[in-house]
Amino acid sequence: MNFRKLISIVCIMVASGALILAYGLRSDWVGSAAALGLGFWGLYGFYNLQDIWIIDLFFGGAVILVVIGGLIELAIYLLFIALVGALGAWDLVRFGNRMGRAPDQEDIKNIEKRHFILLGLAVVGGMLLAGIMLTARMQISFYATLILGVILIISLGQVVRLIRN
Amino acid sequence: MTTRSFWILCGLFAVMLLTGLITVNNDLIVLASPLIIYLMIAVVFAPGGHKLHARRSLSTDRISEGMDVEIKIQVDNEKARIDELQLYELLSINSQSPKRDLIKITQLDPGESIEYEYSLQGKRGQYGFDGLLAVVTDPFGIFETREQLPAGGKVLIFPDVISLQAIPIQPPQTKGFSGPLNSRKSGTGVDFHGVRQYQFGDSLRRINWMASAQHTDRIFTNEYEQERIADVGVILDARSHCDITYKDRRLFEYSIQAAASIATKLLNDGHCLSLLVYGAEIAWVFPGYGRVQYERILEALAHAESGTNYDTEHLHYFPARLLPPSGQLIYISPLASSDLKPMKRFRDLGYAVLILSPDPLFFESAIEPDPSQPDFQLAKRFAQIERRLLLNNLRQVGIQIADWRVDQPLTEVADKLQVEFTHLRRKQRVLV
Repeated sequence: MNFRKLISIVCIMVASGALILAYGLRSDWVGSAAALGLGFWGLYGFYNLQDIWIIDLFFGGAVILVVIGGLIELAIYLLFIALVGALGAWDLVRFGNRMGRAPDQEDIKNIEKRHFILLGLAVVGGMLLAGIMLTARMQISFYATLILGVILIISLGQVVRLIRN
Repeated sequence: MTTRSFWILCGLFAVMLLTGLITVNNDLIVLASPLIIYLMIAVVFAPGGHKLHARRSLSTDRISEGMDVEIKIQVDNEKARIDELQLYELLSINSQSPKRDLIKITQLDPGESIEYEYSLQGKRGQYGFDGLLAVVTDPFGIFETREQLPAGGKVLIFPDVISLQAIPIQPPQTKGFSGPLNSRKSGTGVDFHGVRQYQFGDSLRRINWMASAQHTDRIFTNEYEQERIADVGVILDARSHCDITYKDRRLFEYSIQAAASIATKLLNDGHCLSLLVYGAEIAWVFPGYGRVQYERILEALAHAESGTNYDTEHLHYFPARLLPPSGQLIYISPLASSDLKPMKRFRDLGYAVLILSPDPLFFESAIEPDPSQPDFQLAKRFAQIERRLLLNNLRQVGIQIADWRVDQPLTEVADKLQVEFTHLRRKQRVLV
């Protein structure tokens, strides 16, 4: 088993394990069972690389469990770990799907290396941003937050349009 | 261009953000931060600005079955860096819709180029390279651009040709140029034709002293048979009901191989040859000689495919005007019972006809998983009787027939036909 495959499995287990723990700490066994099922589903997706929708569904499920966990105020650091794990697993399985079709596996070593660096950057960057957001708190009204959110969504749309052009 | 992954990521991010905003839960907004960072990295490294050029070189564009053609592809990137490049070969076989084959995944810096080499070995047909499809993505596969690089090419794989010693043909008329066929006319040649009275100017070497000795006042000279070339038309039966397929074996391929081998031999002998592929459509190669005609015929055979067309379902509708008048016809077909009448018609029109018939019953029984079944054996016997009857009927109208069991080498069939033909000629001479 190569490094990419190992990391993919670790990511799936971390995501699932963190969710199980987060729900388990609140004695929410239904949530824990759902997280366990999600872990198995993720492993199924890992072994069925050609059916990429399986891992998409795993990622969607993980995000939904994180959102529910956030709403019922579960431990945020566990939810954060679960989300990062799910994101990593989703990314690596998709990457494996693309690279698995390569006729010569020697060609993809450099691509793989760069991919890990950038994925690490995304995780570290996400952690830093989350850290900043959790520590640097400021009081803004609900409406200001709403306007900021709308601006964020519009700017995201503009970025998409820019890329398309 | 965005991929499905982009919309999944954006959707999940929006769910987290909006839920956080609606429920005034800043934890959810905080949790969404890895997603936005991931997306931002994808945006930063999104493909764009690169300029790709591709070149293709082929070692040859025409080969025979079983040979290799070396294909070399060079792709240059003139501008921006490419993090992930997937190169697909767009290959179409026999003008079907192109198939995508992934040949390379790589990354390219500005000004860098990659070379890729592979060899192609295939079955008879035309292999068209419609260029390369370059799929450029960011490292996370969130954005991609697709571009078709014009690096086309075409490789024609000719059918396998077997070297034949002789093809026994005897057309009613020959052409004016010297060749290998006995023309049944006296002149310069090798084969003895007859004896006539000596005329002034005849070579003394040709005097028949035996005949002259029997007469006191006359001298006789030998006459030899002129050797000429002829008009030959090869008809390849490509109607779908004559094409039996099992796994990767096709009876039609044997017919193609026979047609190619016969055409090669006849053109090497100097005959004027035309080809008609009679199937879903009528493909006709105009009569001609030599190397160019050889290429044309092999090209037509490389493209030949069996098919159904109600217009060409029966040989009754065969356009006889496409055939050389008073020439030799060589019909390559497994034969159907309905072929008897059209063959008789060809004989009535004054053609000499030779049929090379790959035996469909033998082919089918060879591929039958359980040929020992009584039902199969009975059906086979009936079919054999029917075929034998058809062949006998065809022989009775003066058609030469070579019944070819496809496990037999084609050379053996041609040799056997030649022996039969020589016997027949001797008999005819004795009768004359």
